[in-house]
Amino acid sequence: MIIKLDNVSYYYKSYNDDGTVGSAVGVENVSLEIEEGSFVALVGHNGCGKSTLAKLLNGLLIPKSGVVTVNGLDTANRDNIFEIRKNVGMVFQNPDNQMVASIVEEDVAFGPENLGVPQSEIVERVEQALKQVGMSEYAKRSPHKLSGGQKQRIAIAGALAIRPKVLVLDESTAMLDPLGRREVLEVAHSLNKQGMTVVLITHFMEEVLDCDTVVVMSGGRVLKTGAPMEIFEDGELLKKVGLAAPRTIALSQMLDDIGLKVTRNCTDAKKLGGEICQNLKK
Amino acid sequence: MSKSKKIVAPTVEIPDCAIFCQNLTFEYNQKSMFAKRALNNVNLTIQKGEFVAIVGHTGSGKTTFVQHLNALIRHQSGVLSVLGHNLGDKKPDLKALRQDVGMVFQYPEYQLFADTVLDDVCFGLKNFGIEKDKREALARDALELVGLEFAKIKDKSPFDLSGGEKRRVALAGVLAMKPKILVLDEPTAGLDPRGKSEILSLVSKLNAEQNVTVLMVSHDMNEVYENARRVIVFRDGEVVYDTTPRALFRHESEIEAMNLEVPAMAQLLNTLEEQGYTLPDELRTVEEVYEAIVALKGGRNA
Repeated sequence: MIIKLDNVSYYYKSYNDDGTVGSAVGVENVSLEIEEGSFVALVGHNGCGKSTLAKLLNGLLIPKSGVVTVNGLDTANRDNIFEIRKNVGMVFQNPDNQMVASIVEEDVAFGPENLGVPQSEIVERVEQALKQVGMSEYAKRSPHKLSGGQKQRIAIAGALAIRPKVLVLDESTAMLDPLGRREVLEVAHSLNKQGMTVVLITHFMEEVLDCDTVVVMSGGRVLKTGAPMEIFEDGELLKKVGLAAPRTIALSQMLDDIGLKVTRNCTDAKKLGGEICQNLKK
Repeated sequence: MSKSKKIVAPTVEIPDCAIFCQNLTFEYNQKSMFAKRALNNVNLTIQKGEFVAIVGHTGSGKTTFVQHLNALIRHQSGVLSVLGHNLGDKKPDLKALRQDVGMVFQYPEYQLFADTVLDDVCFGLKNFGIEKDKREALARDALELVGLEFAKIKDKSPFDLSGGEKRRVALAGVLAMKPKILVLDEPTAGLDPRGKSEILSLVSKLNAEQNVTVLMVSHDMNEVYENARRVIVFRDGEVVYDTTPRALFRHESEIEAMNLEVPAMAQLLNTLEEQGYTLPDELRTVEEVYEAIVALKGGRNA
């Protein structure tokens, strides 16, 4: 297990109307194991705790109770924090506020520079990271002229230059257009095929189709963990947390339920269309 | 362009409608070596009460077009009339125009700035010179319209709200001015599914109940397909399609060539049509398609 959460809770400080200090649930009693090399999706509504969970994965937040370990290291131990952050790279939502330099390659070099990596190795790491996200030709460009999807790929390259074992994408596709979203997901999947553990936080249900495991959260708790189709089959759960299966899958389930011969949980609208025709011909 | 070539705008009969434009053309950095034509001879008539989606890839001219509508970009050539305000006039009444055309930008919540929600919603009204008592009443209506409880939220800081709430407060700031045309630039971007459907049903309600003309820029073709009654597609500064969602998405290969997606339900209906099963054009949502297929199947068995 590359990451292990054991009964983890985190509470935020909140201010009540009468001025007293209270607490608000971030996550509560979460236990979760993330296997090395897996592709895990965290889904749920705004405020369900998925971003809090993400921040617990690399010690940006320290649990109020319970233990988070990364590669066997406890995030609550201050001495471990550098090692943990080297292992877990994070990319956030807004492509516009993750850029620190005025040239793409300098931006990517920011992480390894701070870790004191020797100059010659930085050059090599930056080159490789940009290649991995398919942005090598933009190395000398200015990041602010890139599209949202390209900016996010640069942000991913910046995380890769630290050579992490785990990449956490915290709603990194939420602000992108469909093309940009596709670009970022393709990069995430190709990194995963090369052995990277990926944690994808999203509320686009179409994006979780190709994941190994989906974790559904609500109110700071994990409600269900399972393969994508297992989750899509649980209509009651999806309804409860305000999510819905992708349209084609939902329709295939409804038609299958009334006895039409269609592939249940079909993801291809054209294929489903063809099958419906076969049913109508009879 | 030399002076001798300057053409006096012909007097065109402007029909009674929400938006009318003829040969609307716009160039950025006009008369410089960096001149770039962003709109090229756009001709459109949008009637009052329509719900129109504006789509197109980045750089297609869609944003340049919508920014013309309340004169954020000043008209250069061609005819443009918005609710009878002729933007080709030397000095159009911008104040009246901007009261009629409400513009909701991308991520409008980033523009919240005041100490309290009430102040923020009242800001536009104040600028239009509306008196204090009246302002509060209008703000109350607007906040309740977007589904927020006035008494509970009015004294809160906008920065203490959730993402979806912030966006609704920003929207209320525009709605408080009771615009006749509402222009929304990607109103649901970045929201979770519940936030998305709240915003979309609010916009649909305004359109249906108060006859507000809606122009919605969107990248989400499923959303366009399920909400708009008409789609205008921009490419390289020109209008390449102007039709109903159903008719548009029959052109699958052309749509994909523009890097746009064909909505799932449209793909499915297209496949059915190819095989001779034509369903009504009005079907949009999964539930509607399902009902139609059930009816078709049932009809055959009976």
